[in-house]
This record gives sequence, C-alpha cells and structure tokens, in this order.
Amino acid sequence: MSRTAGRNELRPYNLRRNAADFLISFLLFTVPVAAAPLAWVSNELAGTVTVIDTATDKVVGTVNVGSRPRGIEVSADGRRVYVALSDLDHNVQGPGDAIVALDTATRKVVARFDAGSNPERFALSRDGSRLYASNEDAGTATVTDVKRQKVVAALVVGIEPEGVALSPDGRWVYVTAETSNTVSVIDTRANKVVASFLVDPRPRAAAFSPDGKRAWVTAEIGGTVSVIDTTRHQVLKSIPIPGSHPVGVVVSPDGRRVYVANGHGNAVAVLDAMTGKLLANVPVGKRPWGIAVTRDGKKIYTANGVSNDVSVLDAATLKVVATIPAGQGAWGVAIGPR
Amino acid sequence: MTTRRELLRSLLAAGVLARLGVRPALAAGPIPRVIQIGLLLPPGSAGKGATMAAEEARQTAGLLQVKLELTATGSAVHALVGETAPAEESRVLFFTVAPLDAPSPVRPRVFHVASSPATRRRALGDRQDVHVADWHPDLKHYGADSLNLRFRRRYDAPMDEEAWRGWMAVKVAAEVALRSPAGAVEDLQKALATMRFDGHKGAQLGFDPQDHHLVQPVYLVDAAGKLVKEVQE
Repeated sequence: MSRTAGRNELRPYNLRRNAADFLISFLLFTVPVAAAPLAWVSNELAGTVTVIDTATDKVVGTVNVGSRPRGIEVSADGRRVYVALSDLDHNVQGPGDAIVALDTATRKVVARFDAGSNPERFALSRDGSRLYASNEDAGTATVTDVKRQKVVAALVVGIEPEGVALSPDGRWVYVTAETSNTVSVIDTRANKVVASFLVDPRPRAAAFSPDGKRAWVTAEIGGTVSVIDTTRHQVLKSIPIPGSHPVGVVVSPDGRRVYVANGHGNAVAVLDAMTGKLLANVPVGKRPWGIAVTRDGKKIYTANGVSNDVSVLDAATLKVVATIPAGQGAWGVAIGPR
Repeated sequence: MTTRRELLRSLLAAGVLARLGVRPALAAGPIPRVIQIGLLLPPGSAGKGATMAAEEARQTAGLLQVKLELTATGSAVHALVGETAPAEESRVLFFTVAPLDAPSPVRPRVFHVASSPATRRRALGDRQDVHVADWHPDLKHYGADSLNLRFRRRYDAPMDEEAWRGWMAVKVAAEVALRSPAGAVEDLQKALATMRFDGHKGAQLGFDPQDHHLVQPVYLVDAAGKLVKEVQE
C-alpha cells in the first residue's frame, strides 16, 4: 500500500474525526453550556449570603451584605439577587433597613432600596420593577419602585406581617400576618389591599401554584397548611401536618407537589398538591426556615437556621443527598441562573 | 363582555338601583358584622394588656370588614374579659385573667387564661427558690420579643404576666368571635373547644375541657425576677 494510497484511505476517517473535533469545539466554546443554577442563602446572624453551585452542591462563595439578611429572591432574568436587611432597632426605620441588590456576575451590592422599616420577606415582580416587602413592627407592606428607587406605597396589613408571595400573573400579592392570623391581598394594579381573610394561627409564608389558581399558606402554631382559592381569596381547606411547625413553603415547577419547611419540626413535609395528602416527612437540618426548588424541579434546598447549613433533597427519592455548610442563622434560600 | 354581575355592580355604583330602592345581593358585598366584647378590667397591668389586644383585634376585624365594639359593661353579646367571673351564670363566654389559688368547680361558660393551679404546682416541683409565671418580659423566642417590644413601646413598661394574660384573654375572645360567624354563645363555646391559639409561646394553646384553663408553657422566675427556665407540659 503506497503512502498516498494510505493517506487517501485514511482520509474519510480523518474527515469524520475532524468533524467530531469541530463539533466538540463548537459545543465547548461556541454554544453556551447550560450551567447549573446557583443557590443563594441568606444568613441572618452572620450578615452574609452563601453561594452554592447546585451542580456540585459545594459552596462557591460568600458575600458580606450587612445586618440581618433574611428575605432573598433572584430576579427573573437571573442578573440580580435581592436581599432584605434590617438593623437591630425594631422601633424605627434606620439606615440598616433596606433591600439590597447583588449583581450575580460580580457578587457585589449594586443598589440599595428603601423598603420601610425592618423588611423581612418580600416578593419581586417578574419584570423586576416592583418590590413588595413586609414590615413586621410597622404592620405594613411597602411597595418600592425599583427603577426610581422610591417607596410608592405603604399599606396597612395585619399585625406582624411576614410572608409575601406574588401570583404568577403579577396581579396579587399575599401578605401573611403572624399575630392577626390573616392574609391580606394587595391588588398590584391599584396598590391597595382589596381583601383579607383568616387562616390558622401564626401564618408564616405563602406560595402560589404555577397556574396561579391556588395558594398555600403555612401556619406555624396551627401546624397546618391552608389551601386558598385565589379567584375568590378564600380558604378551601386546611391540611394538618402532625407534629409540624410549618414555615417556608414552595410549590414544584410542575405544580404537583408542595414542599413545606417545618421549622422547629426539623423536617420537610411533602404534600400532593392535588389531594393535599402528606407524601413524606423528610428529616433535614435543624430549624429549616427558607425553602426553594430548582427550576427543573429535581432538587429542594432548605436553609437551616440552628444547624447553620443547607439540606438538599432529591425530589425523586425524597432523600437528603447533601448537607452544605452555610453561615450562622441560615434563613432564606433562592435559586437562580448562574 | 359585561356579565350580569358586572352590570348590576355598575348600576349600583352609579346609584341607579339605590335610587330605585333596589339592593341586589350580588352587588352589595359582604354583610357588615359586629362583634362585641366586654372589658371588665381595672386600669392595671392586665387592663393595659387587654387594651393593647383590643386595638389589635379592632385592626384585624377592620381588615375582615367586621366591626369590633368594646363595652365597659356586662352586656357584651359575644364575650367578656374580667379579673374574675361574676357569680351568676354568664350569658356570654367569660374569660378570667387572675390565676386561681386552688381548683374551683367548672362553670360551663367560664374559661381561665391563667395556667391552672395543678400546672403551676407541677412546674414548681420541690423548688422554693423560684415562682411560676405565665409570661416574662425577657422572653425572646417564638415571637415573644415582638410582643414584649410592642407592649414596652406603648406603655414604657415591661409586659409582666398579668399584662400578658389581659392581652391573651382579649385575643382569645376576639378570635373566637371572629371565627364563629353565627355568634350565638353555644356556637362560640363549640368553636372554642377545638380552637388553638398562638400566645407567642411557640406552642399550640387551647383550653382544657376538664378544668377550662388555658394549657400553656409556664416559666420559673427567681426572687430577683430573673427568668430561670421554661416548663412545657
């Protein structure tokens, strides 16, 4: 076999190999790799945000943000993480009370917003234009215009408001209040409270189903989760979770499950969203408070405030697959694009 | 497309139906409800707690489009809160705030917000260096700090156990009235039997069906007034 003939015979192989190399190079360097999202965990006592890579479940960064970070949300475009901060003087609004925005690329604080005194939980509109924050001691919900960096409304809601949830269509904001055991409904078009209803004792948080037809409200002392008809803003039923202290709540992206952080119950309750049946009660770290689910629905993260860590649940097996150290007083968790 | 409901609402808004003397149920919204609670407390610590709770209850009722009326007499329709219950059988639910020294005969419509003598005795055990309290101004967990702060901010004084009992009694009275639409005393009493309350103690509080005392965590306090221990039953 001549060298030429040999080269000629090898040529088709080389072409295939070259094509494969090209394709790999194209995929690696031309097409953006679908990176796993990051989980952002607020640490109330440490004054930091822990950044976790959800692909490896390893800590990839810690950001100092200021005093008492609690509520935390990622913007829909994934470019910003918002964190509620508050100073230790609950009586009056002080310089430490704010919602700050982190740039997710640089992990630096790039903006600071007035959100009333002692902001705790909050919701961010999908277009990123409005922040709705609960002000526990003032008994109000503050609406902040993000672009103008200005408070546009302070609405009287129940006593000791905490949980804030925005409906998927952006029309309604539910604000829970711990002492009055109420949920106040804000019409975002009018910036007014248009309805309020009673739920079980010490409501902590609320979450809407992806289709917006239902909302779920936890009651820490009631030991229940209430199912709300969001067209009428009325309680349909209250689901008892034995031995629980429900606080954080999140609905799976497909709307089929509800995950409830059980606070002092040190577990996550998994409910069937259609039937309300308790599917599992999974032990996690100590005092899980905030809870979030990845956008593909495959993993659930809890911020555990007493064990200062994050538990990761596999949605398929309902087992804890990782425990990740966080800062002192881990409080909230939000998941967004890298 | 305008629905019949929207048409009726717009007509009512324009005053057309009102001028005709027509009040369509569809457009009238919820019927305003009134709940009445009688406060029979002297202006001491318990009275301060009760007053604060009454204002909070009035705010809650307002959100729910219910009017809360406070009376200073025994004629309340729904519930009365007082130091001790009157001798005659109450026509309404009566919530007492003063602790009993010893067990007393159970009266069907009288409920005690203080922990029972038996609870206090069990919590104390053999100790003689402490006493039992239903609340302490230094409590911080389970939202106790928020409640203590609200009271201190309002009265520039610590929330002691008497103040907490006054606050809790009115909270319970208002909540049972708000959650029982019918409002008849029998309905209130039936609702009360299964209701659970949040007293900022981190536990579900409810009335013992046997002795009508509020079952609750209590606290051991030393002679200097320092909080020593929480006791949960």
